[in-house]
Amino acid sequence: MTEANVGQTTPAPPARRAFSLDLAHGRDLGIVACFVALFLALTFSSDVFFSAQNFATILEQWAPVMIIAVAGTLVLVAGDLDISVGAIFAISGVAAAKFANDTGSVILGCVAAVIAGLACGLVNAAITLIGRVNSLIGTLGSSLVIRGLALLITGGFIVQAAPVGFDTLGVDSWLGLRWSVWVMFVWVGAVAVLLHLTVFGRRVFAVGGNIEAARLAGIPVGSVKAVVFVVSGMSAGLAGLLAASKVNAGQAEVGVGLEFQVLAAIVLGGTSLAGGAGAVWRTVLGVMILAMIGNGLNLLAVDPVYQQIVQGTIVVTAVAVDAWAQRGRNKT
Amino acid sequence: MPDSHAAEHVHIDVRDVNVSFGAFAALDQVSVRIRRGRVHALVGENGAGKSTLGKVISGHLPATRGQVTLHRENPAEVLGSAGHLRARVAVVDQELALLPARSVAENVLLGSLPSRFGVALRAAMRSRVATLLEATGFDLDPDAPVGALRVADRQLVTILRAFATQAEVIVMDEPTAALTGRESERLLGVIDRMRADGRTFVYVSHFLGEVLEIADDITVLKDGQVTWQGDASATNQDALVAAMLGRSLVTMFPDRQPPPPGDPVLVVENLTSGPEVQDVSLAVRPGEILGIAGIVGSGRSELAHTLLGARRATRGTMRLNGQLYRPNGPTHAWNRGVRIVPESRRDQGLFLRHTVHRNVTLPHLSAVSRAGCLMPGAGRTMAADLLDRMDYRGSGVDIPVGSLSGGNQQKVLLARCLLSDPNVLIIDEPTRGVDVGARHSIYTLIDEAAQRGVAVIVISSELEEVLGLADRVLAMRGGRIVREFAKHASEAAVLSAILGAEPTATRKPSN
Repeated sequence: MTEANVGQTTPAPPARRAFSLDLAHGRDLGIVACFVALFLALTFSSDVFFSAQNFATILEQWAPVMIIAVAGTLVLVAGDLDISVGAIFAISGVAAAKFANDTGSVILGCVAAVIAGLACGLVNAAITLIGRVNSLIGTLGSSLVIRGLALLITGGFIVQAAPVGFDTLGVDSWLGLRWSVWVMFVWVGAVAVLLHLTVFGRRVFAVGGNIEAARLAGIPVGSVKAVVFVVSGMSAGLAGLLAASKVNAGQAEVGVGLEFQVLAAIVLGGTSLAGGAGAVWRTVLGVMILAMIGNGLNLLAVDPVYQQIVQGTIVVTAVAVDAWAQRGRNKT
Repeated sequence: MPDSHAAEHVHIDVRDVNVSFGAFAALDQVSVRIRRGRVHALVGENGAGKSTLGKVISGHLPATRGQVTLHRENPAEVLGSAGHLRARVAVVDQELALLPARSVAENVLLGSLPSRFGVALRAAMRSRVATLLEATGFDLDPDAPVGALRVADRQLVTILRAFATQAEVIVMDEPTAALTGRESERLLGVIDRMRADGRTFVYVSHFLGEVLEIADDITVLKDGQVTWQGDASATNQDALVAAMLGRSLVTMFPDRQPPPPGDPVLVVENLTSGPEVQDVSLAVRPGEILGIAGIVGSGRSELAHTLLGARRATRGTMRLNGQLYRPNGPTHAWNRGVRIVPESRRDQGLFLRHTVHRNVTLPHLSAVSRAGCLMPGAGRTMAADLLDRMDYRGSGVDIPVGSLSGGNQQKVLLARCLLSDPNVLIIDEPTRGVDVGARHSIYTLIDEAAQRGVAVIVISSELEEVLGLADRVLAMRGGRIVREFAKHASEAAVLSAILGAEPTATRKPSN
């Protein structure tokens, strides 16, 4: 033990360290370059792409994914995964429509959606922290339960929202953008501040960076992780609300596979699966790249099946690059 | 031709080997000749380099300079590559690389499972393990899953695994640390018989009684250098202790004023936590440096973690400034001003990829924030100011802490604990893997903290360090405080206390 530790605590030889740092820097620029290149390519190859109308459409379409993905960044930085966001997205939309119908109040419906998301986040926190279940498996399990509950509540039918104004968030616009897009802007800003400018955010990085060190430095590791899961659940709830508002109905079957789109965007942005490193702006770019790919292939009239293939390929490539960068960093 | 005659008997020849990690030399010009069919013991204090030498001999750690050669029985054949060594040298270490879900038999034969067409032959496997068990007299159930075994039995499994290979040389690193007295005796008996069959052993151990009983040749290491080498029959326990301690190259401990009299800040009574911490009582005053000496596995770090609330105390009471102190976790301890610089910087201390200033300020963020929001730059400046005063030599505080040398990393951890003065500061292994220059400044920093009124508990496996730094030293063995020493106690006396006069005998009652 003793002598081995001595070896590990010494720094890597400078040559290799320089290499891995270059690689990390390359990734910083890489994601930005990728975004810019895609943007320019679409601008020049399609007449329709560079227009306010098209941008508004892209933003509106991807608002739910963006909202969930920025919160998901928090989860990954804390060293966990939340696979249940797709199911929470569905049950929250159902809760919104149901509550709005039952109470006749749109506001109470909105509150119900966010609270449903928050409650699901608390359950995830309990499973992983009290139950000590690995978060991947824990949220996979809770996702099945949550979607099952949603099906139970709706009986498999679409819950049409009766109150007037339920579709305001998803359909009405202000300054040329739908309300859901404004909600997304506010949420992205709030989560970015939370992760990068607050004490809590620093603790999230610490917990994901080295949980044992964080614990011994007096960081309340459990509460930090619990809050992260709650924020993730609330985000999925909010996203579910926006989606339900858009179609004026709640439905148990929506958002299947959403969690993978979210994960893809986060990892594509360059937030590490290993925890302790990442940024909200990265995820914003990750989502926008996925969005532009989808949009571009649509505009170029490519079969939607190819969109999946392209997305999958890109995500695998991004993770492989991450793994290579890690290897460079960990070598001594 | 006496030279060629000697060469015939040399099995592994280690010549002028240096191993350095950065600026730290773990082995310095070490030459050892390990003779065929003999037991060669490597002894020394923690950090002396004996495990490193064991890893070099087994080909698992490359020498920075120098040469390791393996001589075949045909003297003309000499093998020197690490691959050759790894293929012919088996290792038993304390890291217990086992598959917990698989059976004892599978773990023992891992890597040499009897099979036909890729299918494991259970019957053949069981009979081979049964033969081994009979030959060694170890009491193990070959079908039991390893995960269910006691630590001692797991150690026996790793030993059996080494015996099961066709290795010519077996390197054993502290094989008896986890064993009971009887099991240790059995093991020594087995080694004796296998030596007669022509196998060569390299035996790394703390326990000098065992070493003198089993070894033919002994090499004593201190600070990576050989201080004594020779025939086991030509030495005794006292001479070995003297060689292990040697004359220190540098005496660099601050000249401490005796701490002011006063009431203790932390009083611990009959603290027990699992089998690792047994009935520990201690008290430490403000301004005092209390040393805790013990070998690996004596429960020192577990005691530290219990004081911090990272381990649950099953019995006993603690008082902090006269008030009952029952930490339910390290967060509670930090809030009460009890802090730790942990044993392993990498695993328990640092966030290697985060910047230096983030590492320092992490537990103090409430001081540099308003309503939970960080004030830009404030933490950075605080960390930089403090590190400036701590003889920090890194290039700024915005670089990842993982790129620093061991000494600077340790200063970062100290800075984290000293950004505001704690009541009690526990430092586990203050200078492990730290070069000589940085050691001195770390000792000075610890002394200065004590002078400001911090009660410091220093845990170290380096006796020189504990005795040089502390005002009082508690010797720990088997989870208990076995003796207390005053400042100027002799190293030999403390060493005997932490090893136990007759290790095999004293460890019996614990099982």
